[in-house]
Amino acid sequence: LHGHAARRQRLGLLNSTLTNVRTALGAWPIVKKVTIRMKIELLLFAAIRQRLTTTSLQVELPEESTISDLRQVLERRYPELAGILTYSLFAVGPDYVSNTFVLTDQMVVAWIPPVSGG
Amino acid sequence: MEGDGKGYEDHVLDGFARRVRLYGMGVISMGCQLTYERLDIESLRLRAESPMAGAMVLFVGTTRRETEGRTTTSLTYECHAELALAELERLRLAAMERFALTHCEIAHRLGAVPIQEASIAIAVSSPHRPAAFSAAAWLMDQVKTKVPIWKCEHWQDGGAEWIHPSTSLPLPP
Repeated sequence: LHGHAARRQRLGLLNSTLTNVRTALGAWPIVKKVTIRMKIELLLFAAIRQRLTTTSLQVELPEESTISDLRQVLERRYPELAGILTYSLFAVGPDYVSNTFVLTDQMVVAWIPPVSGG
Repeated sequence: MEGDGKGYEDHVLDGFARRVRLYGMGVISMGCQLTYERLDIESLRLRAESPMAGAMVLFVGTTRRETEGRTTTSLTYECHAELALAELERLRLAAMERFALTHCEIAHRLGAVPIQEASIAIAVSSPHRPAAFSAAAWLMDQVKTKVPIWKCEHWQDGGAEWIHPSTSLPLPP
């Protein structure tokens, strides 16, 4: 095993050891579960761009996070935008993506609030 | 609020979803356009002309001064260019098929659009008029709910406001 796969296996071992230690000591949580993190770039538009005073954000997420996970992170980080977030869609490249869409490292995702063209 | 209307991907602007498409009679179609320039309605109309058509509907959406008692000085539009062009082109192709159109041309302006000037123009032609009327109405409804373009209202009594109708997008699954 090389590179990523080896890293994943080591993390798997580490996490199972942590679980065993927790079980043995009966305490929770001693150490948080260790996960591989990834970064995505989030593009912002209109009222959201203006509120956050930037056209894009870096968001760190656990590996294999979905759009749903991203929504939860954004809701926690920006509770004042929770309302508009509910009505927002997300897009990758030239396509809208669903809540089950799996994100990968370095992906560029667009936060699309309700539209008002025409 | 600065509301300058310059979107994230300004470099893609003034682009067309499809550059040029030749039709049977040698008529050139440009498809969907996003531009910071004033819309050239006559050129859009000419592109939708066809010897196969018995009807053409040209819809032009313009900046209105009064909205529910408040006075607007101008609108600014911004977009997600890559997604907006792709989405416009999908709608254009869907309309061509659904209403059996001869031609369909869509142009949307970005940046500041003063009172009375056009922010969107749609030209559709078809063999008979019912299809052209229906297609223009359907396309406008679709554009207003699906294409990632946003308008900012600049009010005369001060302030500016991005418009995000909470019902414009279907809730995701």
